[in-house]
Amino acid sequence: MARRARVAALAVAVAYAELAAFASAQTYETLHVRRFTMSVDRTTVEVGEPFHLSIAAHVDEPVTQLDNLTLPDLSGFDSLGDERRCVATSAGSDCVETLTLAATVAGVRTIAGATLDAIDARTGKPSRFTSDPVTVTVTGTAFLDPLRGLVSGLLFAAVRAFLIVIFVAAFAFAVVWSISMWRKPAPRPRVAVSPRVPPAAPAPPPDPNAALRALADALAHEPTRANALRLRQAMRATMDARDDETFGDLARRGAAEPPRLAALGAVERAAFCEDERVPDAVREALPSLNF
Amino acid sequence: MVGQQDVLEALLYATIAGGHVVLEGPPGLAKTLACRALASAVGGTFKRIQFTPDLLPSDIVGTRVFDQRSGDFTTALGPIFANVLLADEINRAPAKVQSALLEGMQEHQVTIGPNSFPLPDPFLVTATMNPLDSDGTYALPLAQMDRFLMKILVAYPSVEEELAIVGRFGGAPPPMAIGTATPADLLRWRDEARAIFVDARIARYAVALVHATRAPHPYLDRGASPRASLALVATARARALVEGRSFVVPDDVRASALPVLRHRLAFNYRTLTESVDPESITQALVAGVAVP
Repeated sequence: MARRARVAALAVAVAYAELAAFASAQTYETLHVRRFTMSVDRTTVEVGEPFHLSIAAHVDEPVTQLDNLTLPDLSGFDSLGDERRCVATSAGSDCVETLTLAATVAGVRTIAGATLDAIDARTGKPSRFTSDPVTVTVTGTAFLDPLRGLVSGLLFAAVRAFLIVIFVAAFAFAVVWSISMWRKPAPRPRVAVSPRVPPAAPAPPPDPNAALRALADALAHEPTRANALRLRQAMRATMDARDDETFGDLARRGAAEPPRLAALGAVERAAFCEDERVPDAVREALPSLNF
Repeated sequence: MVGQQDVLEALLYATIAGGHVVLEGPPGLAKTLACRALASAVGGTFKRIQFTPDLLPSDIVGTRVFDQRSGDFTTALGPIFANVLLADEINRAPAKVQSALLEGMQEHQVTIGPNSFPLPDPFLVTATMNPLDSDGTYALPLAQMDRFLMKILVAYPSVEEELAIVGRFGGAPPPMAIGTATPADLLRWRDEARAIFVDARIARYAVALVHATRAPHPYLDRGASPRASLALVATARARALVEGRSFVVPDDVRASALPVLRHRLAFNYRTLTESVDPESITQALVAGVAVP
């Protein structure tokens, strides 16, 4: 009877675990993982010396982060920093997580592989991708290497006692010198009365139109295609235009007031018309350039 | 026509640029009507071929017929000899029939037997096709698709537009505009479009758009050919002419990019297995290129 109860309990536990795994798989991203690697910038470091551990993945999908990336066990290392970066291109996404670590214990240390849980787009099933482990050789230092604990402990105690003596002596000298200086009357300094300087006025906020005015003046002075392009670029910047947005896109989203958009259109005409027509196009644009 | 402003503009640009155009959309969206209206407006000779699975190349280009009285062969020219040819439901015929149009579309001539015959000028092929997943359709060969200047997607009308369609076409069919322009006008516009100025930055932008389709991509087998760069600049010039400009601006190229590129890209099996919309891929490629 007891044996049957144990088997039933085990079955329930297994079913629960599978359900939990299934539920967790539902939150995974569907990814084509092309590359998943882990590396260090140096394989030999000293105790306490910072080094970088990089975990890199390339997936076909455009992602901004890898949600289910699990770092390896890093016991024996202090984590000094962590940087995550994902760059999405037309060829997929390159994600790199860089950890800055410092070993606390000397010896040959193997860092187990990092894991990435995702729905494998090739099979449609939840999968765990694991990188190769990396091995780091950590050499000891005089004060922290436990293999030399006894010697270094004695040395450390001696150095600490010496430093304490030096510190006490310096403190005593400083006290004596301060008292002697306090007793000697110091010559009264002649203080020149300087006119009261009013507090500096806060700098006025930069005028975004000032640069446009300067560029428009330059265009009026020298009506060339290059000047028209410069002014057009500056005007687009004031409208927060993205690189892929055309004038039509800006007009459709109402990126600026209609007069400003009309001015941009006029400058664009000057920037792209025939060479011999550039001065005329600039002349036609100038009345609208009221910045 | 009611609505479909994009379709009408694209047809106009293709006509001026001297290119052929294919309209894709579900049945009943006035694709054939649009082509007929264009042909009627520009005048000249108009022929229509209904593509069917049992169509033969000779049904399009013509054939040689033995004349018993003279004892010699004479050539019976096919319906391709027209100023405006409507190839209706072009993807309902197999590839060998579709390919019969290749020589005419590219070289403006047709070879029947030992002789080549020039096609009338202007010569414009307007084709309609149903989406590939419709029953009884064949994919057009890439070489054939590449010869179409533009592929225009015809979308369903809005509720208001559909109400207007019901009101306008519910009774007697409305008259078509006949002879609004002449073939001579078309040739003149074509010459004027060729004279439109294209700044080097604009030309580089057009080429960059085409090159963006050739970069390695998880959903693309092949990108667009240099013929696409030529088509993009030609269409941008036509748009500038219609807008009354003597030069091309970046908007001309951008507006032409999707119709010119979408049918020239070879998408791989993953777009099917992962149900990815090819149009969204083309849009992303276009959006990824910085405007000059």
